[in-house]
Amino acid sequence: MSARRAGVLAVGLVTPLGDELHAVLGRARAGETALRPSERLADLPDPRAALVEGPSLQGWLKRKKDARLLPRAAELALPAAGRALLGFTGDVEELGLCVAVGREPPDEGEAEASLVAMAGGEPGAYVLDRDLLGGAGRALYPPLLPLRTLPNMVLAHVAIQHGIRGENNTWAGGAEAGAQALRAGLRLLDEGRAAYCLVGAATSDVDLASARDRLRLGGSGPPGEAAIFALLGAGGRPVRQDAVLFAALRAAMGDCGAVEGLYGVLGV
Amino acid sequence: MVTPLGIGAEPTWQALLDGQNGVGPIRRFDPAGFPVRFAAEAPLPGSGAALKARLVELALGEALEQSGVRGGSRLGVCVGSEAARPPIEWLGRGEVGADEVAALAPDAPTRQAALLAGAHGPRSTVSTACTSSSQAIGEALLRIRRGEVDAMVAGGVDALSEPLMVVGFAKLGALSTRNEDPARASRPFDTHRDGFVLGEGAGFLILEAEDTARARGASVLATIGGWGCSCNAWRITDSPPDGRGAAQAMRAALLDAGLTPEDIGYINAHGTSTPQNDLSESRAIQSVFGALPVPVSSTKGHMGHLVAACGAVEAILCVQALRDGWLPPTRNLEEPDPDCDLAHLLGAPRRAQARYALTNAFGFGGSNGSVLLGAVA
Repeated sequence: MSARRAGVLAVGLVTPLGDELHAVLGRARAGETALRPSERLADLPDPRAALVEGPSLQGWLKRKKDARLLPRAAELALPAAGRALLGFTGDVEELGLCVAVGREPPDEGEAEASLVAMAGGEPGAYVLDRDLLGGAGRALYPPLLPLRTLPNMVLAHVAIQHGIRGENNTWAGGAEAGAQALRAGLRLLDEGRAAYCLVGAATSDVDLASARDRLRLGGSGPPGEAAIFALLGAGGRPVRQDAVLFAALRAAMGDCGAVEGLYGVLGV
Repeated sequence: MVTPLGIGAEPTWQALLDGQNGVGPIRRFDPAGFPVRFAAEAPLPGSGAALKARLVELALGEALEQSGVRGGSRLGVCVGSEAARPPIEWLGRGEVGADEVAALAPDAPTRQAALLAGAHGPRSTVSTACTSSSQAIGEALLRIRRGEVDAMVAGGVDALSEPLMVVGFAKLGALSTRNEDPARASRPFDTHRDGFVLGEGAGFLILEAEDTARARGASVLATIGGWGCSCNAWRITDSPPDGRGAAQAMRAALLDAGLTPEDIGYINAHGTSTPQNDLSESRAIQSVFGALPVPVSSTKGHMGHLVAACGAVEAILCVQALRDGWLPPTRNLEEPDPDCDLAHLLGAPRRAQARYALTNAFGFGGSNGSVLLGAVA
């Protein structure tokens, strides 16, 4: 990296602790937690999760009918990205977009529907039935499922809603993906490939199947869902990491995967 | 590289020049009753995450052996990949192991590639659907330019011939339904195209800074001079009819390389064979290249759409075209759509020594990538 600095011009977030930056930080520092027992995880030894209430998409969606296309992570991302872009008047062709996501499973209802489309039996005791998927089950298969579970759907919806047309990327993985997105955004500015860059992460990996998978992998605490976006511009103060803040947020909001790579910008 | 045409870069290239077809009836599962019963499957057994792992092993193994690059902290990895779907057989199983779960993650091929290459440098995974491995090449180029690494493993992998994806993409209306004639189903830019063909494959390139490559006496196959990227900000599955996002990516690649449209001797189009992509891409090429008769082909006519792997595979095909002086045609392009008015490569391969080639990849969601490659002087 060169010595050219990038400033965090604005931050938008949607978290289980709220969506106003200073209030969220205050609650996290005060030791408040959003982790609550979740009905969807009731079968697990630790049924807690940190879930977001809502969010309301009013004002963040150009066309109401687009709501049916949104995976949960995009529902969280749109208001967060929108808040980070409030007042932005730059050229959208010069605005980069770097996004990090987690595994992004289908929503609870869709996961169930896709199972019903290809299996007989009952929840917890499904029996594979290939003929069903090739026949009557096909009509039950959620038509938008492939699109809603593609990792780059968060980026796509944010770009569409805000008209962002610059260089872009979606990084997949765990917490490191958020840091990758942040780094890629800084590089865009540093190399002059964008005048501004919206960097962010959104994840909602909180369904039962994902929680079970996490346990199988050794676990990392109860899951959470959240979205954080930051508008970066050339000049100004550098972005910094804040380990104390990270620890407070982890304790308060659970394992938010890719979103954790963006916690550093909240300290600005 | 592993594609529906063969295992290995040279077998694939030769099959392409011979006009062979990689599309056929689905063998991975019994597709009776399915709306689409054909795909472009790789010539390997297996399915799901295990198949993807085998594709990575073979394709990357070939690239590493050819390059002679050694692992270490100055070698990074960037792979374009999507999450693998859990096999439906899991429904009937009580327990699933941790390794099996980890193998489904989008970054599983990246971890595997880093292990195979002994790469201890930066590692990342790009998931932008059909643009993924094009962007992985772009990421690798930028890291090398900045001196963060000496070399990068860049590539992609995908394997979508499985029940849920076939049903899902068919329900979206994105797939060709030419069940009676699979070999002619993938027909980019043709008037009678009706959708893309799901494919399987992997492609890996070893990119290295020119000074370190020359210093160790490596055989340089081609150069990567430019990279362009944009976002359509239009709709999830549709491309803007005027092709503005695709045009922006191609212009950015030219600008990045310090070249003009006149310098380009071959365009490997994204050309999926869907009505909308091919029209939008044609308008984008027309807007960037104007009346210049730059030869264009889409190799998806031979091997279907390898989705997250297509950007890397098609970049390798450009390397071979630049190296050998042959431009591959678009298979099945029999009646060019008048609205896709380009200098199409029809019928047989054309003998032509291009100095620079441009390869496009455009994804669901609107990410666009263009990689500009140059012949070795």
